[in-house]
Amino acid sequence: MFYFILKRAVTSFFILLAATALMFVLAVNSGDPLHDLAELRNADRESRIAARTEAMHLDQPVYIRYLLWLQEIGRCIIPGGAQCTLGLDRVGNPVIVQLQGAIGSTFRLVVVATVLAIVLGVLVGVVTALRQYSVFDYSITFVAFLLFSMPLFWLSTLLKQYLAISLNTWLADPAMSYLGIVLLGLAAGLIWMIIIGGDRRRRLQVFAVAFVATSGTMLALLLSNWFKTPGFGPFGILVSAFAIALGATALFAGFRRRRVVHATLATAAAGFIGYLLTRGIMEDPSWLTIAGLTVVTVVVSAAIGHFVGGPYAKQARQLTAVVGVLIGFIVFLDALLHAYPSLSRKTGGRPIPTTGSSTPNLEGTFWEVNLDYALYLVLPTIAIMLISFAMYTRYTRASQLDVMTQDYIRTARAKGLSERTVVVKHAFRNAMIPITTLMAFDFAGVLGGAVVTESVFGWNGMGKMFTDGLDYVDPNVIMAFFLVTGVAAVTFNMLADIAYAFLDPRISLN
Amino acid sequence: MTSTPVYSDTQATETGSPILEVSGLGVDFSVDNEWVMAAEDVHYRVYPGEILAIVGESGSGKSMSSMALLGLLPGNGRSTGSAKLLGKELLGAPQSALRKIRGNDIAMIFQEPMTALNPVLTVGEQVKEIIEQHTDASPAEAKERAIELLRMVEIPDPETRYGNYPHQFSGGQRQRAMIAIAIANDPILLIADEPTTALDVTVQAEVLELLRKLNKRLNSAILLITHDMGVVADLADNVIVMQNGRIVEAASAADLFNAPQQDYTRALLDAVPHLGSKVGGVLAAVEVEDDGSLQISEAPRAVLAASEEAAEPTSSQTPALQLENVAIEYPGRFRQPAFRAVSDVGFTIMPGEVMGLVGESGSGKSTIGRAVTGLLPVAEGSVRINGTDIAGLSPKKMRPLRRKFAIVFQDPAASLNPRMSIGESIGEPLFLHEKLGKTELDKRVEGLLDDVQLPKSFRNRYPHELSGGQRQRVGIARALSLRPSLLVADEPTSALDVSVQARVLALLQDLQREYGFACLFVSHDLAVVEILASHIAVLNKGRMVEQGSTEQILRYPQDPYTRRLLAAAPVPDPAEQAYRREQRTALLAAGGE
Amino acid sequence: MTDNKISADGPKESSPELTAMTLESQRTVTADSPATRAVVAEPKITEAKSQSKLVRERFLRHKGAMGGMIALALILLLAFSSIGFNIGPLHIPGWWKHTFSEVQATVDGGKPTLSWTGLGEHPFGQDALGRDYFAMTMRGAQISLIIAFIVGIVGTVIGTVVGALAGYYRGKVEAVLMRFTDVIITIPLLVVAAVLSTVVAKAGIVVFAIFLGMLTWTGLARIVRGEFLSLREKEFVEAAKSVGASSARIIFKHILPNTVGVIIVSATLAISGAILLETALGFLGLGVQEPDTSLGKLINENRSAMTVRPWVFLWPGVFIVAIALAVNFIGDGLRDAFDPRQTRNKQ
Repeated sequence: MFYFILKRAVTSFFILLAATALMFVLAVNSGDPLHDLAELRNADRESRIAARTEAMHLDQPVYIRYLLWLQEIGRCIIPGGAQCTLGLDRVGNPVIVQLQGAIGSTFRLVVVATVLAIVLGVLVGVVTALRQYSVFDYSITFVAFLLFSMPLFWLSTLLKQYLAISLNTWLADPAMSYLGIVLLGLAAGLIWMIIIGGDRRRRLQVFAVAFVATSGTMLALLLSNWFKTPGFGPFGILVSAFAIALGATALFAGFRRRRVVHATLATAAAGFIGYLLTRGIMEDPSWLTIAGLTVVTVVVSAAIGHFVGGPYAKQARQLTAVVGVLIGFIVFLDALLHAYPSLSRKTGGRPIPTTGSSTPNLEGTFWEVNLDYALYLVLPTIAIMLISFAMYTRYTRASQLDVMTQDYIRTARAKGLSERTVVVKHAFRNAMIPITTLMAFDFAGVLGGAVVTESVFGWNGMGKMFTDGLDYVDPNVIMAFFLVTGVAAVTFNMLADIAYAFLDPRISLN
Repeated sequence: MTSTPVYSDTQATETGSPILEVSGLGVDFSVDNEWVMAAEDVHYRVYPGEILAIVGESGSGKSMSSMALLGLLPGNGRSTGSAKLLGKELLGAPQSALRKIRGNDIAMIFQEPMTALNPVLTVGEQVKEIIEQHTDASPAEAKERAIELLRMVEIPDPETRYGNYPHQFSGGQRQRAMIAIAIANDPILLIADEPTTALDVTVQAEVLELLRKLNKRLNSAILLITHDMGVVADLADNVIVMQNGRIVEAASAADLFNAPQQDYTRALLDAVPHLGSKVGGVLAAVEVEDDGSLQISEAPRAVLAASEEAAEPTSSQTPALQLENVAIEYPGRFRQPAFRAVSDVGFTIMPGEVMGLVGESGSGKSTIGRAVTGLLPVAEGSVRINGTDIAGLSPKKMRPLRRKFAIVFQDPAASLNPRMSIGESIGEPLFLHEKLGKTELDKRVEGLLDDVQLPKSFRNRYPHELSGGQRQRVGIARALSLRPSLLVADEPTSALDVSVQARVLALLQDLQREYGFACLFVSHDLAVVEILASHIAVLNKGRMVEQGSTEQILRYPQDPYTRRLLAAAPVPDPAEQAYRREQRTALLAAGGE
Repeated sequence: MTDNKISADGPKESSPELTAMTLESQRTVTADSPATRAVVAEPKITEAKSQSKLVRERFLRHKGAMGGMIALALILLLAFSSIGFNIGPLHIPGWWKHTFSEVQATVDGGKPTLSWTGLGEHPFGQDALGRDYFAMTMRGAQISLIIAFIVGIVGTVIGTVVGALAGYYRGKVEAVLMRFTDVIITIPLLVVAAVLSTVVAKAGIVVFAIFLGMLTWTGLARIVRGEFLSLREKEFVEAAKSVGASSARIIFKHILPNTVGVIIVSATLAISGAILLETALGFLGLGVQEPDTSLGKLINENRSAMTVRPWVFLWPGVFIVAIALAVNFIGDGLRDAFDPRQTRNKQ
């Protein structure tokens, strides 16, 4: 394992070196960096040209400039040496300052979108494979193709122009006619009916349940003025906690083992109690508090699993830890949503912002600041996510279908295992093996695509930095961007390989 | 139904009623919106403790009719008729009910142990989960029982092996693990679908032995699905013969082999090569005494002399092929040392002679076949074809020599380019070496098709339109197109059904007589080699164990490995096979490499 | 983003042969074990059908692919016949009355006149300068299509050659080529394309497209290499070697025809990817230069007019989506036609 990482790191280093050289040559030749100054008629023209030539080493040949750049990078790698600047931009400021500001907002955007796309895409992909040739499968296939064929910037602009604006208008005055509620319920009923499938009776049952649940919830939300003051509330958290416990048990363990069921239910109860106890701390916490609480949650829920699980302690531990974390997430979400009314007052009532990456000069609690971040993330995240999502569903579907025809799936069925075990335990893990590779490539691609997204949504991130660098023909800025994406690309490739070996025991990293 | 502990040695009481009663079973598949019959009107009964074999060639419906019992047909299949397990109807039963039966009352063993086990789960986990599924055992108890099961199927060091993955098991061990899974919950019926087809003969013999032991010990009935008459003779009490989805004949094993009633059965049995039929008995030198001890007699002097002559001919003729101290290596990757697949092998084939090269997988027999035809480099030693050493020759110098030899491959489906017509494939060597014009080429190709008894119109067809046997004929035609003096046949019939195999072997014999080429016949199947070869070399783990005339090797083998190999190969005759089993047990007991 | 050519089963550095081989071995299980395959594979066809004919038949039965073919044909016809096109100095005139560059008086605020009853004067409206937007969109579609096809072809050729050489010769050749591929893959496509387009876009769309094609071959190279790695171990290749066929003959006559499926599928995906790449570059103000236009450039120029004149934003987008969607569906149909393993078995 260590040898593998070392070997990969060395190869990656040389690949990056070659790529930076190629990139540097391209960047230098992408235009004339003195273009804007050459048109000046001022007296200081010559001196400014000289200053910029000095700052950018324009009087040196390309390879010297590249070596100079490498030297700057070297300073950042070797600790304790000279100051790390990643080179100077054309006005003589260190690039690293600019990069530090940009990197955070870009990664926030890319990571959230990628994680969501993976979770949703894989989930939907598996379901479409299991319901091959159903209406659901065909619809998702078509939607995936449509999203596949859509330019990111066009989709982003559409979302911005139509979804955000009408949603904002609606949220300003949330109301829905009874007909609207019924239609929403009907739509939900249809979708669930198609996803779950089964014989005619089962379909009707599913439809009825989904219809009543959806339209009932919608009605309740409207009546309680939920869209003005969102949140789960104690009752909502109680219900969600038990729903999570039951759902996780159904998916990963089944209800045959009483002890395991009891453990997850106990975790749900403990989670609710924990929610009530921590309300004080959660008033205005810091990220450190949140991290601490997460650790406590994991430890406590695993302990519950361990002691209640009895002979099934191992399985119960894993399951209760997952349940605990999910409940914690719900509690977190609840607190975040509670900050909505006050944040809304501070920012002026348009909940979904369409440009920028955060409200400038916002002063507020932990929850307000983070909700503000989250709301700014909504649109760009949806845009990036939808396109990655399309890819993940397609590939997961293909992979899952392939796995489902394998001999070992037939063996698993011949053992009398339940369909849940066959799909979750035997098929899913095998189907995920090729997807890991995809994740690495997708992440690198999305990072590159951030250039477009940031341009549409007016984010001040690395993409903006890159396009500016390109406009000003400022190689050090372009290279700083490339350094981050390049390192991310090789790192994720390596992580994908490790994940690959982790999922597939036939591959050893030694 | 929950099972009681498995491991009692007491026999269950014999009941008069059948475990499984199948009547009017039919299986169809939807292909291009049309129902295609895979099996119809199948009926049989299985009684407790019985081993019933269903025999047939590919496409006979033997596998599918058994898959239908458990509702495991692929999505485009459907079944009709009735199959009752202890009086309960299986066909059309809801999946939830079938799930309780699968792996519990009826368990299955599949053909390919490599693909039938999940590669990402440990073997132990895969045994454990079936116990957990059908009993209330806790994980710890289930693990304990899983280890016990692995021990029962004779996996060495089961505690450690429990945590290993399938790829860390050998083929035979994987099949044992598969059997452990199948018997985990003491099923009353075990369906074994070609359980030994993918295994070497010695491993096959062990797995069959294991199945026989388990059958006696657990009193589960076994439904054995196979194409191998030797396996049937070894294991089965009763036999059903299927052809094209219908039952042709049903009889006890003894009756079927001694007095087959139907023409098809007779033809099938005739087509099965019977080890020892040409040389008059096999392992004649090995006698088992009443107390189970061994008596190995010396070979007659005449036989030994003939054998000597076969191994090292004294004639002045130039041998068609002569190997001396040959070693072959596969280059290692990433500073790993090269893997030496063959070392220190030498033999001689005279013009017009057929030599059999026999060994199990990993013995290096195919490697030698490839090195002789210049597909692999030789690391040490010399390979002389008609006196010219091809070891270390440059591709350019090699090229004209390639006319002198040709190779026929094992898998007829893989050895023909799917994008080239049959005519192009056969004509390629002629095109490359004789630069013939189109009309001349066509004429020669048609002549060759004629020689391998295929219609001339096949010239314009593509490989996927041909059956396995037809494809192998095309492979032979291509190999013979340049009239080589040496033909390497690498397992040319092992992917074919027995009746097809018999015809291809007959064709090969005829052609050998007509063309007079020397032939290196590589095979794992001793009975097939016996038919063709006058001289046999036995390989084990890359080394030559012994060589000699066919008679000497089969009747008076000198090496213990050869003896064990011979003893493990089943023959299609229950009585003889029973005796051979004793021979094998005695040989193994005598031990020794 | 445009990297969607990297297929889920595309071989990976650390695991290539393994995946390819296990899939292969599972596909060719002997005789009648997974008997469906046996039943399905039973050749009940009596008349001779070549592989390519079977593929063609399966393709023609694929509804999505046929829809895509028709849609693409219609778009091509519309784009090239409406405003005409140039072959060298020769201009082939089209049937549409306006050209994409002529400035006219704005009618009715430049609103589209397209309705159920007919096209009207300016079916897609006019832009801020009063140019006919239908003609402009058609011109943009022409340029985008030309670029996409050139990128697709160049990328496919390079990817096939690199992959074939690496997969067939292995050893040093493979190491050098695949490390080179890694270098190109490390650079986000959009980034290098953006830098490159500022350098070469002035030289005209064909040169620009060729350069883009030189960046988009990496995914295909990996896939083709994987195919070659598994095919070169096949017995029919050994059979060819044993009779003394040259390397060139083995590559071109024996292996390449068997990879034609993945190559064609990949090429269609490359074309739809190229459409999206070109439009993304156009959107950033890179790529095609004035006075010419492309679909991406049209959208870029009219971004700010989104609220005032939504049509100038919508129409080029609709054409991008329509073209990419059509090509993707064709690619899907081709994949099913070449690899019928996952196609339906109707109950």
